[in-house]
Amino acid sequence: MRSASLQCHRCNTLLPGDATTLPSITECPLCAAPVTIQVFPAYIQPPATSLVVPSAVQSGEASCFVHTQKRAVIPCDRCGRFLCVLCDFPIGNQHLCPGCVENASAKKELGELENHRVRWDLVVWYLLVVPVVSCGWIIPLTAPTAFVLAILKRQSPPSLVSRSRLWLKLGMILTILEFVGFIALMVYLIHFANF
Amino acid sequence: MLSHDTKYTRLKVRGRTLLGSASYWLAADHLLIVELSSVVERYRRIALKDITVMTIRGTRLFQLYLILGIVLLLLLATLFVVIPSTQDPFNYGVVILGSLMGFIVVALLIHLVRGPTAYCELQTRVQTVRLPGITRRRSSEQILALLAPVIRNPDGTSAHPSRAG
Ligand SMILES: [Zn+2]
Ligand SMILES: [Zn+2]
Repeated sequence: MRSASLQCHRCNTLLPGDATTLPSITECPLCAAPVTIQVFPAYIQPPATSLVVPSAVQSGEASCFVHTQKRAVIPCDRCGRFLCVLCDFPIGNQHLCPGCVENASAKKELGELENHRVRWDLVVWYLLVVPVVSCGWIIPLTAPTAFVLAILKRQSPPSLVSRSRLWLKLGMILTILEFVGFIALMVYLIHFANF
Repeated sequence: MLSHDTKYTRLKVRGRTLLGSASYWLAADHLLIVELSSVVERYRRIALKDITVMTIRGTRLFQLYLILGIVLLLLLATLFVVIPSTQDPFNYGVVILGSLMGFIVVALLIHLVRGPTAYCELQTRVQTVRLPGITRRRSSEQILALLAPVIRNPDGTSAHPSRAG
């Protein structure tokens, strides 16, 4: 099953070999598609799934809150309920029960479970820049929208890799300037340039 | 921010995608891939001890882009010859054609300098992750060279000579 995933990306031929011979392959033997393979220890280690079997509770031992016949191994770090190996979710350096994981992920409290964030600073900047380079007459619509968005999303979780909060603030100021600039240009065109 | 987080070291590999970018962050036990696509930042965490295989797979995009560029260039060159440029030296057609050709020549040169195309895949028992933004053999080899030692020795008992800050 493991080797099935090591196919040629061009002709789907199975690349022959095992953990020791695979790294010496430089191209597909059938279609000569170039390939470099590095095999790591996890490739040959047996799957660890067989280890996760809770043992039966003995007298004098604590039992799992959910599986009362099973031995508890650890308390939940949030609610304190005793957990068996099946109910223990190790997340980061915490051990949580399924209920606490669900609550925490609903409230977005566990960074480890978070898989995306919306970059509202980029949305605001797109709304700022795109009308300028395409159709300027929509600025009276886009600039206020961008401004309101920047106000509403100022507390939203920031980017992990760039200074999104700073860009959001800068965008907020520029939306005002853009709007005022647009109005000033209109006034100028109507009153002074006999447009 | 990850750059202020002492748990993470940024791998010195830049990933460019069509509508965004990707960056790679290494912690003691996992790799965090941050991919920006349009306005959404996506995070993927892969435990180092779960990684079974890494592959670099060469693609034919290099030849394809090269042929495409040369064909376009030849087409524009034919137009250049056809357009009568005798009357006005500052002919709009000539200017537009010239700048288009210049643009293609520069793009082709960058393409040649960046070298053969490839992508890098990272496999665990349950998933295969194609590393975002890694589109050349050179960058694939770079990221493989940075990751392989830490995957072999995940808890970092030895120093990470290949890790870059
Ligand atoms: Zn093949
Ligand atoms: Zn249980």
